Amino acid sequence: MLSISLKDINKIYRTKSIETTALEGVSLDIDEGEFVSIMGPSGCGKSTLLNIMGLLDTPSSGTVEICGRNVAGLSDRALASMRNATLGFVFQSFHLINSLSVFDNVMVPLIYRRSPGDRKALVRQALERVGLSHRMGHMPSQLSGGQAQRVAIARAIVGDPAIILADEPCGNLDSHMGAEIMGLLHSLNRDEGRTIVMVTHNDEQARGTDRVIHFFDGRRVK
Amino acid sequence: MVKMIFKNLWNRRRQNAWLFVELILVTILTWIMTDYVTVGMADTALPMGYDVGRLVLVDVSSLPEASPDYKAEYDSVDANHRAVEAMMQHMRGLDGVERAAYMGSCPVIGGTSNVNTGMGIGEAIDTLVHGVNMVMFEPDTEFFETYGIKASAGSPTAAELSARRMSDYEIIISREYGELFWPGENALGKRFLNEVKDGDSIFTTVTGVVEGIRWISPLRSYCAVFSNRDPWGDRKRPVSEFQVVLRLGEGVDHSDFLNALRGNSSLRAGNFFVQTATDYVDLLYNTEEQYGIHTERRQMMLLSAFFLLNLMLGTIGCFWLQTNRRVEEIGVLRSFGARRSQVTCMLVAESVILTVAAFMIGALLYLQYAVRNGLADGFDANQDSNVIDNWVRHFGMHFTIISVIVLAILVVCVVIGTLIPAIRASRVNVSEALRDE
Repeated sequence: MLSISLKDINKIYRTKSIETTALEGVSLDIDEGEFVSIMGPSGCGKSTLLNIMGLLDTPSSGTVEICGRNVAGLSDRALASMRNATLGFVFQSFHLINSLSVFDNVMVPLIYRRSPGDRKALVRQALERVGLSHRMGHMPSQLSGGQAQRVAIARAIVGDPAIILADEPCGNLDSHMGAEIMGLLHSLNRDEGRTIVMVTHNDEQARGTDRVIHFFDGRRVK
Repeated sequence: MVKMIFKNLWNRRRQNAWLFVELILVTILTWIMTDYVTVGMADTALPMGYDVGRLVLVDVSSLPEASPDYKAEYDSVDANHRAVEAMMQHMRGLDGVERAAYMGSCPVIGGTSNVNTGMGIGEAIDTLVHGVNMVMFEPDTEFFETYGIKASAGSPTAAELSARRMSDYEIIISREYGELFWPGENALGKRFLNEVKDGDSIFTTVTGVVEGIRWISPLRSYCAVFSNRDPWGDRKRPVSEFQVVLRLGEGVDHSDFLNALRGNSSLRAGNFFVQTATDYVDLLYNTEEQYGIHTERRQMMLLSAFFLLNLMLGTIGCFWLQTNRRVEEIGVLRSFGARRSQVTCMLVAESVILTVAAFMIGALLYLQYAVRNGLADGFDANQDSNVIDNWVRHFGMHFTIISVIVLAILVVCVVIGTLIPAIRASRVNVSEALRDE
């Protein structure tokens, strides 16, 4: 089954005087359990594409299907519910909430679930999975970059989403920590069968994935 | 989510510390101003105790001797007094007039002709010295019904009180005065010690009790004593002028009535004619204006409004800024499934909880001051007038009522300061909110 299916996606940003085309005629299918990299120069539309896949942005035209469901016309409530159930995000800047502990940061996706189950147990499992169960009570400001990104990954997987979207997850990390994070992502893909879509500038990281898609000026070129 | 809200608040205590202190200060300042304004407004809204809106005061004068219409046959005392009665009857017969009575001892009940006097002691009670206003009225002239002064429960009716010719040792008092000497009891039949003469105690008996009446707007009901008098002194001299209070019927247009009355040159009896006619509402307003009541009130209201507005704008601004700084956090929450309404509720709830906590501390601090120095008691002269135990004088009730009002004001401001930016922030495109600079 296809995890993500994009057909003829266009994204145009309009201001009073300028019209910018971020994406033009993009079509893309990602299978369940695939680990896909998206590469391209800065400003080519990679992050825009990821945001559209993650239902954080809407295309100007085209169709988006997530796990076989067309998301066009869904209400904000339905989109939020779908994000919560199906998608997990890992951001370049981690985007941890500084006023919450590691434990509470990972808990965030479960708060907005209708049937959260045993939240505490799920959070502990997720933190154990990323090797940070000993840091549950720490605040984000007390973590290294790599640790913070691992917490972000724990947050992304705590709700057991089918798809993980990672926007340059190693962009703010050194090579050593970056390698750790990539190892974790590969583990999540290989051992748990999660679909992962990653935006990256790093050739080496991209080569380790199942497929690399290249973008240039808003268009898929490879 | 509730636990998350409290955890967020606790973990952000350093960022919120200044805001918390500011809220405590705002609570105290708002309390002071709200107390003054609320008590003032409550006092202004109290019923006057008589039907101000239906009364007209008519000044009746005698023509001067030099006037060509002057009739010498009305010079004698009897003819003069008959003319007075005739004038009274004419006015009672005017269209729109329900009743007429000779005016009490001053135009505005409780006005400048009153006497402040200690009334001696009530039976078996120690001497109390307290200011009291005396109102003299003519019996058998429907005085109480004309003014609309109501008899208290257990007292003879207003009509009976008006008709009764009291001796020098009988009085009608206001309920406030009775409360002073016999709290919680009906003062009817109680006695005051008037004097001790040749070893004998001479008492004045309360023959009627009426409900509270007020003099001018900021004053509450005062202690009053009503006593009979002849309207023209001892009835041995001719009268050159007198005042009549007219009670107009419901729905009668006062302007039209006054215009008709003033223009009614045929309204004559003997040498008497209508010199002026004034609506009681205008009379009251002018009396209050003379004492600077309106000016003082306007100034204090403006000052209070100015300070309150600034306090509120400051509070709104602080919360607005604080909420706008959390756009990124809102974006993160939304990316993980939070709905706009959930994010908005969370932010508003945090702000309200912070405000309520600060309010409780602020109110507690002010309570220490209030216990020692008292709360707002309205116009200064209310110190002597305010005998009846209303909410203003009841410390617990007074503090609670004002606290509720202050809390409501603060919560409204904080909700405005948080809700509007929260709604706007939650509508920001999530990808924009999370955009890495």
